[in-house]
Amino acid sequence: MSRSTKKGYFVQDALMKRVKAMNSANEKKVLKTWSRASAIFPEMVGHTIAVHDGKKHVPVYITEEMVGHKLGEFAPTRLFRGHAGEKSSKAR
Amino acid sequence: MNDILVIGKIVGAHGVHGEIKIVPITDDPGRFVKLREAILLTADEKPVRNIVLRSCRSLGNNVAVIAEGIDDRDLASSLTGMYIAIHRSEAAELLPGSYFIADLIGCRIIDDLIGVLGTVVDVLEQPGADVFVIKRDGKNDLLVPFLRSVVYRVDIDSSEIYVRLPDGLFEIYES
Repeated sequence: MSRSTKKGYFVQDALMKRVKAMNSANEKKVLKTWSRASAIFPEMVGHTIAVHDGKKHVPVYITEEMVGHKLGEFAPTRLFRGHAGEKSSKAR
Repeated sequence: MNDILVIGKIVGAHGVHGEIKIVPITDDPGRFVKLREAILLTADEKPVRNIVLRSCRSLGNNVAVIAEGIDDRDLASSLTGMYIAIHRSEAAELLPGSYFIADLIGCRIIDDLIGVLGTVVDVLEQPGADVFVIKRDGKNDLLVPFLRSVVYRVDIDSSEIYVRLPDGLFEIYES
């Protein structure tokens, strides 16, 4: 069952407070959080949040397309370490 | 820069007629259809010999190929654990601004302010953006996102990647 719309999206208070403080001071600093369940709010766009994956903090740059998703979706807890092979990578 | 690129790993035999089951390690698994010749590498990536591929078909996420000289299941099974590779000249064409992960691994990461941070040991393919895992002497690994706003120059020839770390990122991995 989905979360009641009356309650709105969940976000950890401490995290949101830090994001709002940075927005009002017009600064950008990487935030460290363990709150994977927090939803991504429009206020977070443009910030980099280091989300804990159970072992380490993975830096996640927040873009507009991520709004409404949860932080944990962008820092998978299971990691397949395969051969690099002919796979490529590109800066986003 | 390595002259050969691995494009698949042999995981076993398929059927009784000597088909080889391969897990593709490439962005384009369809490349096996056009492939006629490849290099067989041992599990520790030493070249063994060239193999000529006669046909290839899709097998879910894997591919099944028939190679010359391998016509029964036992021969196909004996190749399990080996890699299939190609020469770099036959590698898939990269999109502008893209790099083979194999080339990025081993590059030195240099920050404008801090200097040399360490060496890339892995590239994590994350949903948001790929992340470099940087090995540092006697310290925790540093994770740096592969973003245009962070990485401003990649020089594969000299194995160097130049970055401008976002504020606060370095401190996270220092503690």
